[in-house]
Amino acid sequence: MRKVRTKKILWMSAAVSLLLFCLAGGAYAVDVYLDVQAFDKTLPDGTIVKMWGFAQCTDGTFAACSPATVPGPRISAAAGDALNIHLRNSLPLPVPNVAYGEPVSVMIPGQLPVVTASEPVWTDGTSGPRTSLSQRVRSMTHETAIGASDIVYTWNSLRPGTYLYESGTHPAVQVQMGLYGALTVDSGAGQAYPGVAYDSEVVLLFSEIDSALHTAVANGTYGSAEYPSINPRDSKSDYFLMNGMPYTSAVPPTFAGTTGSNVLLRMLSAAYDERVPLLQGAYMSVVAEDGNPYTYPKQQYAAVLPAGKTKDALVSVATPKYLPLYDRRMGLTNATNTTGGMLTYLAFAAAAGTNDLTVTNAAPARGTVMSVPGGIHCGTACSAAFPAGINVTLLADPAPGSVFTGWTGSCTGTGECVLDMTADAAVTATFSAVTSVKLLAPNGGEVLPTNSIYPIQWQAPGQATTFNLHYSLDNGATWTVIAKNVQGTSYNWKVPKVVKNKKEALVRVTARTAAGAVVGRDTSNAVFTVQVLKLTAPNGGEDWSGFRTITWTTYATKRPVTKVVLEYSTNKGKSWKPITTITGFNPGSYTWTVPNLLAVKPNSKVRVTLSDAKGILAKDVSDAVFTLNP
Amino acid sequence: MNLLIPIKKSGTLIVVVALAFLLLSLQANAAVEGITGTSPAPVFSLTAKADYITVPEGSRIFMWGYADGDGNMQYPGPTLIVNQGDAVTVNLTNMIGGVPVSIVFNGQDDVNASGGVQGALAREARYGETVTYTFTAANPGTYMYYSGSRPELATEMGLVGALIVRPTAGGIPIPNQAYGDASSAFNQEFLFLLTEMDPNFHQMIEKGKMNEIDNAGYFPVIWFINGRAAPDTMLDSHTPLLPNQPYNCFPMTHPNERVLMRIIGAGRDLHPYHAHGNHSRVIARDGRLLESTPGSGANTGEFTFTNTSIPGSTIDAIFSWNGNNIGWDIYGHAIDEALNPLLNEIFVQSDIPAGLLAADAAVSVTSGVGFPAMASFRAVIWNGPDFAAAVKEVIRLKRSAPGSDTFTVVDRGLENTAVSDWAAGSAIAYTDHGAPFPVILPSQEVLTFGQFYSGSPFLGGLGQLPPGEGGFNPNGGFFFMWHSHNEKEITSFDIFPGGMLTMIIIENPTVPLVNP
Repeated sequence: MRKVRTKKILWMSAAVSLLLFCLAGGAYAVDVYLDVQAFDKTLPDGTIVKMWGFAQCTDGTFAACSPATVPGPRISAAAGDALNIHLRNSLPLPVPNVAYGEPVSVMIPGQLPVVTASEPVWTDGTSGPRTSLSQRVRSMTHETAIGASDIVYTWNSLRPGTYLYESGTHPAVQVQMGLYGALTVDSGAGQAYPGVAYDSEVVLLFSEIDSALHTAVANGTYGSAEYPSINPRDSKSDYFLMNGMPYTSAVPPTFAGTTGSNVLLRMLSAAYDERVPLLQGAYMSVVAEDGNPYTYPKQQYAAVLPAGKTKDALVSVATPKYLPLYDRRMGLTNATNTTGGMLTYLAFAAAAGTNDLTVTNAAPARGTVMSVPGGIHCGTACSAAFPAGINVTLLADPAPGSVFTGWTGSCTGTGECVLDMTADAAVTATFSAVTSVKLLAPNGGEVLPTNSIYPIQWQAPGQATTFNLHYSLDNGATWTVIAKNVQGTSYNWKVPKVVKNKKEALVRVTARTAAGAVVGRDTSNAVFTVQVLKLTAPNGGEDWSGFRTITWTTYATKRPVTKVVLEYSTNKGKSWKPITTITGFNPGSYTWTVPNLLAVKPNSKVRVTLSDAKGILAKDVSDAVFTLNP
Repeated sequence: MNLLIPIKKSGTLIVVVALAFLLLSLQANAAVEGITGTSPAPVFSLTAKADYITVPEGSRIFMWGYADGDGNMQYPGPTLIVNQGDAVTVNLTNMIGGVPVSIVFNGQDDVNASGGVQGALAREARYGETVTYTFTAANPGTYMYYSGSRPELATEMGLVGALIVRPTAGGIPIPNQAYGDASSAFNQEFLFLLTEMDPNFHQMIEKGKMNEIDNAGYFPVIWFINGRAAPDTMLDSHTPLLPNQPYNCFPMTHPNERVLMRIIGAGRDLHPYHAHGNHSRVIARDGRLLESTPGSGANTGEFTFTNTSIPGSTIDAIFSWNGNNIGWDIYGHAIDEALNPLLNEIFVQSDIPAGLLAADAAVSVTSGVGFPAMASFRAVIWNGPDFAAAVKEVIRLKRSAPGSDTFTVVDRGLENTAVSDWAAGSAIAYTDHGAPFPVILPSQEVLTFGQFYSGSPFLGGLGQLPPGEGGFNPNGGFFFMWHSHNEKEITSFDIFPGGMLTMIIIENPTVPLVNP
């Protein structure tokens, strides 16, 4: 498979401003040209979602535009600057069952726009004062109709801070479709607000995808009977994005800053649901909200972002490390895949340099090499640059029918591969085919309590796709089905209730192809125990006199216990004398008065027997002798 | 059957505790329950296990949880209690089949881990493995821990717990404070670990379909405080009825005492936790005192009646209840009854520097006195050392101007007291002592009763009730509902009462809180 050399560390994107006019007082006018386009976005699991995004163009002719992105391009400016956003609307005209488009606009909550006479725009297309009760607001500001070009939106004097720019038209659909981006305005060089200095920054823009809505837009059925309209009650996000992409282990870490420096986290949410970015392993000093600096910063490790919120926080980390930052509202899955969604690793390194890690996986169909933090997902992403001096761990995940046989190069062995990246590193991972069916667990010696859940594990050659599992309680003389037609490499077995501890238990796995041909079978290498009762005291070595408490642990019995008999022996179990009989319940303990014996008895044992009217349910004896001291 | 004490018209109060059956727990824990580690190097051993919990409408729900060593799986996991500065070790052994488990310690920096394998958020233990986490609990406060392995499933399934770090000074624990500062002092502390649950997740995992769960389709229908849904929140802690849910949530306090609320958002949803009875002062978030500058004490937190818990975050708030200016004497005293020093009936006392004649409309009080800046309030003037025997006048006052120590007399000679001349130096008190109950209680045949009504409206009072009524208020306390104000969350499967709901009892100051 083609190796993709990914040398992507998410450095801060440069400012967008292309055309600067110097205004009075040293401020500039920033002109930004954005074309609103419909495009297809491929998510890491292969799902293709129709999005609407802002594409950055060079000038008012809109002749040369970069591809549209979600989020849109970041806009940077200085406090006092004027901002002119020029829009062109390249969305398709709405045609039922074919295509869907709408007029668009742009607004920036928190920044004061120049208001024109053409706003708001009502659902009937008119603007200005409301003339009819059937009118609803369609656009907060003046619109850019489909096909219109170079419609300008102006903010005369930007306030410092972190802001979300987004469509001001039918935002319930258009923001969901992807029309949002970040605007950052500094109050001075390296200063987010007066008195809030920073050395480096990270923009974290959270958003969601409700793919059902995107499908309706893609098919041209939005607003039809098939998908009448967005209903917040039914709206369900299935993808959770950070800066436009869900996490997978191919996503490299985000360089935040050097140790000891002040890193500014600019957090924004274009999501509908609250999101809670949580920084694991350090505190952030939250200094502002919605572009408004706090009087007193707040020391927190998590910050709640309701829909549309922006928050700025400073972080300073003393020693090099990766810190996970993730949504504690658990937007952490990509559809049904775990370890995804709104997760990133922030890198705090001694210096800004990186070294390359290259992984060779000659058999990517047999297994995947993944890194923590992300960056390597090899097969597909086999090379990445990591900051020097922070440990990166490589993990090998064999595919079904394969086994990981070891590392060579910068790592050896079959365990984890931990690299400190102080220099370039190259690692080769070898995966081999499993050649025979092998039961891995239980494989002998285990003690499985009745009614507990025990994961049976095995490995098998690739052509084996279904597995039958059996257990035996008599060393293989007879077998009982556990489960049939199981897939995968493990099965959670509910250990059955048995009568008396079974010390000769075995498990067998039989592997078959999809067609039903037997590929092989394997049995536990040695017997294990299914335990229903365990005498815990006295169990060997104790020296007992006076009042002592006999204790036993009962797991699930085959039938309810109605009688408990306790006995003791002074001759290693050859003969037994009664202690007591308890009827009606099973207390698990009993305080015994050591009997008046004539001499010290060092070869003593206790036996506990549980039974009901039909017979004995369980029995256990002290594992080794103890001493009775009258 | 209750022993019933009829209320006399004069309001004499008798506090009697004599109930044949006790439906509610008197096991009020003034300290948070959990496992207290041995300073300076506490070691905890937790085992991740699968087991079931019971919810009030009868269901058993399959859970994953942390157990203390070999003990029962518990929901939530054991509350770990350590001292500031302790070098903490937590050993985690995984006995849940089919999923790795780990522990993430929010708010603790530089957690080292060994054993197991590296996971996305923490080192994790596969079945049978043990991972050891070590960290220094450098800062006091309220924290949480949860599994960082598939956390969207793990926290839902119950792998969550609280960590309390107690403040020390020079290695010596500072008692009854949350943060080593007077602003965090408390008389009682209670844990409010808030979670929610979607039973579908649990059923799918129980059936072995963990990888088919649609995380985005999460839809909770039952809510918990400390692992219990109402009314089980008010059952005994460590009740054998709920062997896997050892903690309860049943706060109790006296007037004028300080209750520390340790609120932990352990699930994935926000919850507006609403405490009836009074506002509470937020003093800390995420284990950090809300200070304007280090050392200033908690002075930037809001004074609020609803604390919205954020998933992953913690809140510390101080709640205090008093009956000041409720308008009537909560103990049912007559004006000529002696003052009981235990009951804090005099809210503020001062004296009148100049004489106050019967016709006067203003009264000045000793400067710096602390009378409230309210629209109007009740005050009592008397002269002489024996309050009960002295002549008294009941008046209503309001402050003449913001910051002034002169008060306008809005009304004189109230409650059948005579308008009198008062010499300089006469005592004047802001108090409700002797203020009569403002209404005549309807007779019993026109009332319906809640189980929390003691038969008397007075704090510590019991009264006559028809047979079978009441019973849940053996000490005559005042009950206030503390609950999520997201109203659906006080149901269990759409059944009210349920979910994230409990009661706080304000008990008469002479009533001992069990396990204070």
